[in-house]
Amino acid sequence: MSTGYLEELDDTEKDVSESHSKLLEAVSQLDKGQKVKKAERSEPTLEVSEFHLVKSGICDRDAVHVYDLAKTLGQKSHHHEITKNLQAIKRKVQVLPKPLEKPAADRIKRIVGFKNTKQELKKWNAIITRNRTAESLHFPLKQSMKLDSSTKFVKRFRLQSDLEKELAALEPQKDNIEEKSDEFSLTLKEIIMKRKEAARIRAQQSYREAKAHRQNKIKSKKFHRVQRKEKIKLQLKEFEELQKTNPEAALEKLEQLDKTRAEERMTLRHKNTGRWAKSKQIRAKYDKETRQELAQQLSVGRELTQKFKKSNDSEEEDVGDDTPMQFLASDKENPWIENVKTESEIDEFVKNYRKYWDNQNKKLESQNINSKITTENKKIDNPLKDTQPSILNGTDARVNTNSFAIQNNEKIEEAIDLNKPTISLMDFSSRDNNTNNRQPLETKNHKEYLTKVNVKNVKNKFYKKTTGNILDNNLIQSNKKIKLPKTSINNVTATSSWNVESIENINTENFKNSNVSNSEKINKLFDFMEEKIQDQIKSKLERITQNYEEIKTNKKRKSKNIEFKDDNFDGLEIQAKKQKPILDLSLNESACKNNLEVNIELEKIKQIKQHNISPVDNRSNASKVEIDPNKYINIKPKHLNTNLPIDITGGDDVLDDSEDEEERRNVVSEAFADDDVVEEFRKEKEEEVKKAQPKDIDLTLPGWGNWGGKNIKVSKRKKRRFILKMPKDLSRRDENKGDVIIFEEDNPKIKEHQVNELPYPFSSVKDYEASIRMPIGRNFVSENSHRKLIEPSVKTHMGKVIEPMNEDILVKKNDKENRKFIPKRIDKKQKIKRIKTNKQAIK
Amino acid sequence: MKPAGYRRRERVPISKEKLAKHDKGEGIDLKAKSTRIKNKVIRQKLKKKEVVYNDTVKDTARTELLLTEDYGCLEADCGEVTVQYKQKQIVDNVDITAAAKRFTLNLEFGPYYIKYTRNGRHLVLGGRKGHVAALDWVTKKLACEINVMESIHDVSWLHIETMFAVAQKDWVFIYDNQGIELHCLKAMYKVSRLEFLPYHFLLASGSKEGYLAWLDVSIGKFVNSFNSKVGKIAVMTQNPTNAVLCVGDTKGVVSMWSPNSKNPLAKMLCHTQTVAACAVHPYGTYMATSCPDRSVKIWDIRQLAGPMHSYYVRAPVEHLSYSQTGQLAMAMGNVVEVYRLSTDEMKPYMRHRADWTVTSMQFCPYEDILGIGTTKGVSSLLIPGSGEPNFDGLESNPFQTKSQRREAEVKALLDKIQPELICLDPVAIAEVDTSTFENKIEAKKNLLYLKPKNIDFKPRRTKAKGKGGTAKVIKTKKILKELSRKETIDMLRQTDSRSDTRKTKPQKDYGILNRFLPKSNKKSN
Repeated sequence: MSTGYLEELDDTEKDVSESHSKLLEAVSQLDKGQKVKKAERSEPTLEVSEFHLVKSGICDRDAVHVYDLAKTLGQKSHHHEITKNLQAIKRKVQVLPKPLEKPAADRIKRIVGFKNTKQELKKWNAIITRNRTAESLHFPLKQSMKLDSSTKFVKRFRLQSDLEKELAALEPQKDNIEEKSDEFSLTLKEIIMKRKEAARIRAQQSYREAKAHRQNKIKSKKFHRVQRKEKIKLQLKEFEELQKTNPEAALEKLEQLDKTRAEERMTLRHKNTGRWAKSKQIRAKYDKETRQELAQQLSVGRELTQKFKKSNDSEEEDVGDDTPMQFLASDKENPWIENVKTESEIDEFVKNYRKYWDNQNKKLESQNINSKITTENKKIDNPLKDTQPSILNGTDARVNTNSFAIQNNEKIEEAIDLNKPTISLMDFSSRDNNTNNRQPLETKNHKEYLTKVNVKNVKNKFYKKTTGNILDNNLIQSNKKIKLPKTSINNVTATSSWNVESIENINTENFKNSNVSNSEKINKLFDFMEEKIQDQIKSKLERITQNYEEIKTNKKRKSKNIEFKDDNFDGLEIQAKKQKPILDLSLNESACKNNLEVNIELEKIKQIKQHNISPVDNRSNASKVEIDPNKYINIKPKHLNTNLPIDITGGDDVLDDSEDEEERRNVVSEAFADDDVVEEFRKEKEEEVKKAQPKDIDLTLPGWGNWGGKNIKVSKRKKRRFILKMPKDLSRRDENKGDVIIFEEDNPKIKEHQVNELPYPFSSVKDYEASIRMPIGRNFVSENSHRKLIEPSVKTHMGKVIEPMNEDILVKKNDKENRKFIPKRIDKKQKIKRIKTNKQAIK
Repeated sequence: MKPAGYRRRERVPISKEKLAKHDKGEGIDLKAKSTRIKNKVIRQKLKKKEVVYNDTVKDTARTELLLTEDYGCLEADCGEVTVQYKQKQIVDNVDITAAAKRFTLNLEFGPYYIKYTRNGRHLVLGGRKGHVAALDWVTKKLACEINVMESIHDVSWLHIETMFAVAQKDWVFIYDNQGIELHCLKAMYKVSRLEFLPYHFLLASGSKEGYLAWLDVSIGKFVNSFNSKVGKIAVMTQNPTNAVLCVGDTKGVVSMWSPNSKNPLAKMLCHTQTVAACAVHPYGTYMATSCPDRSVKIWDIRQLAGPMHSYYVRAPVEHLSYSQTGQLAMAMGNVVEVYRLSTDEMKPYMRHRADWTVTSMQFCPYEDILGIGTTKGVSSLLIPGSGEPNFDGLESNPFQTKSQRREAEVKALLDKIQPELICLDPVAIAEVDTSTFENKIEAKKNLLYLKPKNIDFKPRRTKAKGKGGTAKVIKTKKILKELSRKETIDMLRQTDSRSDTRKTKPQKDYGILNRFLPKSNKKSN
C-alpha cells in the first residue's frame, strides 16, 4: 500500500512540478526582454559558462553607478570634501579606447620595433666601418692593459720547489677577494631606465594606433579624395625620383601605375553611366554647369581609355600616312580636351561675336556682290580639296579654317603660323554641342596642324555673299539649311546659324586681283609647304629621339652615381653636392637644320663642280701620306778624334794566323760594304709584317649550291658570306720604328705567368695593374716599408680568447689610459751632476 | 704654447727628382666621380694602401741618403785635357790601395779573354792557348791556374766565384776555383761566346755554327738550344735589365734572343756591315755597336730606336764596354779610349795605349778599373769614376765573406726567375694578359643568363715616359712635310736637269767583281 501511495504521490508531485514548470515558462515568455540571464556572482572559475553571457544593454542600465550612491550625499557642507573628491575622480576618468584589431596592432608594433632597433644598431656603424677598412686587425680587439700580477706571471714559468710547496701549505695565501656578483642583475637605475624605455615604446605605439583609428573613422569623402590624390602625387613624385636614381625600379613602378590605370579603365568610372551622371544628363539640357561637369567627366574617362603612344615608330607612321591622329592626353593644344570653357568665357565670346557680326552686316550691305568672286572662290577651293579632301567631303562639312586662312592671307610664309587666327574659332565647337548630335571628331590631318579646329556647320562667308543671304546671328536659331546654289563642288550644309568668318573683308579685294594662275601657284605652294613640314617633322623626330637617348644615358649615369646611397657607411665619403649631368652631345639647333637642308643641294652642285679637280688633289695628298719617317730621322754622324792604333803584329806564328783572319774579315766586310743590306732588311720586315697579318678565312664549299669544277668562279654572294675577313693593317709595335723588326709572338710563354682575370674589386685593367705596381721585397724598398707592405690583415695571438665585441668598445676611453709612458728627459748637465754625486757618495 | 722641451722633428725634405725617380706611376683611380671600384669599404682600404705606397716611395727616396759615396772623375787643369793623362801619372797621384789595383800580367798564352765576377772581386782569364786562371785580383791571390791543353774561346763566371765556365775547343767545361773540372757540357759545341744570366741562373752560349743554348745551372737542364741562323756568333752580350741576348751578325743586324722562341724577339739593323762589337748599358737604356767601317752608334734599346748618337772614329772599334756609371770604353787595335756621355754628346775622357792589341775588355763592377785582355797578357787600367761607389750588400757585395756568399747563394736560388719570363719588357709580369682575358670575357658573353661584366681593358702602360704628346707629333709632322717637299723639289730638279745633260760613260764591266772596284768609281756609276 504504502508503496502504492508513494507511487501515487510521486505521480502527483510530478504532475505538479510539470505544471509548475509550464507556468514558469509561460511567465518567462511574457517577459521577452531578457533571455540571457544576468551573470551571477560566484566563485572565480576558469571555465566560462555560456549562460553567463551578459547582454550589455541591460547590464548598463541596471548597474549601480557612483553618482547613484553619491546622490544621497546631496549638497551638504559636511560632505563637501567627499563630493569634491568624487568630482575630481569623475573628471579624471577616461574611457580607454577600444584596442585596434590584432593584425593592425601587430603591424604597428612591428614598425615601431623595427625603427627602434634600427636606431639602436646604428651606433655600431662607426666601429664596424673602422674595423672593415682597417689595414690590419689585431685580435683580440680589446687588449686589456691590465697585466697579470707578478706572482701569477712568475707562476707561469716556474715549477715550485718542494720547499716552496711546503711553505705555501704552511702559510695559506691570501685569497683574492673576488667581487661577488649581485643578486640582482640590474641596478635600480637600470630598472628605471628599462621601464622608461618600455613606456616610451608603448606611447609610440598608442599614438600610432590612435592616429590610425582616427583616420579610419573619418567619413568625409572629400578628405579621402584629398588623401588619395596626395597619395597619387606622392607616388608620382617617388616615381620621378626613381626615374632619376634607379630606372629599373622606376619601370616596375610604372607597370604598377599602368595596372591601376588599366583597372580603372575596366571599371565604369568616368563613363557617365552612373546614376549621378544620368540625373545630371537630364538637367544638362538646361544647365551649363552640369554640362560642363559631364563633359569633364567624359574627358577624364577618355583620357584614361586613350592608348599611350609608346615609341617613336608610331609617330613616324603617323607622318607617313595620314592616319587619323589620336589625341595625346598631354596635348595641351588639343581642342577636344580643352574645349571645356567656363561660362563667362562663352558669354564673352558670344557678345563679341555679335558685335562683330553687326559690323559685318553693315559692311556687306554697302558692298556689291560680284559673281566673279564666287568663281574665284571655287578655284581657290580646289586646292583645298586636294590637300584635305576628307575634311571637305560629306554632308557635315568640316572646313579646315586653317587652310582658309592660308588662302586668304596669301602670304604663305606667315601662314605656317596659323595658331592665331584659329584660336578664335576654337570656341565654336563647344557651342555646337548644344544643338547637334555630338560626334567625336578625329581630325584627319597632319600633325603639324596642331591647333586645328573642327568647326561644324561653318558657312563660308563668301558663299553667303553669292546667295546674298545675310543671316542673322541668333543663337537659338537652328537647323536652318542653306543650300549654296553655285558651289557644286562644296555642298556645304549648315545646320545652325553659326557663321564663321575667319578673316576680315580686306581679303576680298585681294581675291579680285587673284587670277587663275594664282590657284596653281597656291597648289605648288601647298606642295612645297607639305614637303617642308614633313622635313621639319622628320628633323623634330630625330631630335626627340636623340634627346630621349640623351636622357636615357644621363639617367644611367646618374643612377650609377647614386646607386650606393643606401649604404650604411656614410662616414666614408662625402657625397658630391651637386651632381651635374654631363651632356656629351652638343645642343641641337632646329633653325639651322632647315637651312642646311636647303643648302645641301647647293653643296651637291659644288661637289660636282669640284669633282673634276679633286683627283689631282688626291694624288698630291697620297704623295704626302707616303712619307716614311724612318728614312729621314737620321743623325748626322760626328767624327771622334781617336788615336790611331799602332799596327802590332804578334810575335808568334799562331797569332799571325788570327791577325790574318781578322784582316781577311776586314777585307771581306769592306768588299760587301755597299751590298744593300738595308734593302734586304726592309724586305724581310715587309715579309714579316705580311706573315703576321691574319689571313681571311675561306669557308666556301666548292660546288655547294652551284656547279663545281674547274674554272668556276666563286659567286659574289658566297664570297661575301663565307669568307671571314680579317681586319687589315693591324698596328704593329715596330710600325714606325724604322729598321727594326719586333717579332710579335702569338703565344709567348710569359702568358702562362701573367694574370688573365681580374680579381674581385677591380673592373679595369689599369686599376689592377696600378694596384700591383709597387715591389714589396726587401731588395727594393726599405725595411720599414717592406714590413708595412707585407703586414697581414688579421693578426691573432696564440692562446688568447677572442671574445665578441661588447658595448664597451663604443665608449670613448679616457686619454689618460691611452697615454703612453713618457720618460722624463734628463739634461746632460743634470746627468753629470748625478753621476758626480754618486761618485761622491761612493767615496 | 708649445711645451718647454718640445722640439718639432721634421723629416728631411726629398727632392722632386728623387721622388720621380722612385715613383711607380699612376695609382688606382679612387676619385669618387670616376672610380670603377664600387664598394666603399674596399675603396677605403685601397686608399689606405695608396697612402702606404706613397710612403714607400718617399722612404725609398729617403734611403738614397745612405748612398754616401759619390763617384768622382778626373778634372783637368786649365789648358789640359783629361785625355792626356797617362796611367802612370794617375798611379803616381793616387793612394796606395788604388795604385795597387793597376797592374799588368804578361802572359804567354794569349790572346786573353777576361771576365769579372758580379761583385767585381774576382777575375778569370783564359788564354787562347789553353791558359785558364782565376784570381782575387785585388789581393792578387791566385785561386787556380791550369792549362786545359785546348784552345779557349771564352770564359765566364757562374753565379758565385767558386765556379766558372770555359768555352774550349769543342765543348764547354765548368771548373771550380781550384781548377777541378766539374762538368763537361757537350751539348754546347764549338762555343765562341759565353754569358751568364745571374738572376735566371742561365749559362748562355753562342757557337761558331750559330747555335744558341741556355743551360739552367741550378738544375743542370738545358732550357733551349737552337740554330739562330745568323751565322757565326762572334758578338754576343746580354742586356742586364731583361736578360735578353744581343747577337750581332755579319749583316749589321743586332738580334735579341730569349730562350722562349726560336725567332728573335727583335732585330735591329745597326750597320751596313758586320757588327764588330756590342755593349749594353747596365741600366738597359743604351746599346753601343761598332762596325769595321769605323762607325760607332748608340741606340735606345728600350724603345728599340735610334741611333741616338752616331760617330765615326779613325780606326775600327773592335771591343766595347759600358761601365756602371755609363762610361763607354772602345778598343781599337792597341788603343783603349774611354768616353763620357755629357749632355747629348760623347766626350773623350781617358786614353790608353796598350802594349799589345786588345782582345777583350770589361769594366770591373764597383771599382774604378777597366780590365783588358791583350794578345800577350792582362792588365787593369785605372779609370776614375767608372765604378759604382755604393754597393748594395743584399745584391752583390765585394767584401763578401764565405758565409755571406753561402747565404747569398741560397737567397739567389730562392729568388730565381724562371726562364719563361725572359722577354723584351722586363716588367711584363706585372701586366694583365689582356688578350686572353678579353677572349674569356667574350666567351662568357655568349653564355646565356650570365650578366656580362663591364671591364675596361685599357692597360696601364700605353706610352713610354716622355713619348708622344700632340706637340711632339705636330713637330715631327712638320719636319716630315718639310723634308718631303724638299725631296720632291730635288727630284724635280734632277729630272729636269740631268735627264738630258748627263751622259753615262761606258765603263768596263767586271760582273760580280764590280764590288771590288774603288768606291769613287762605283759612285759615278
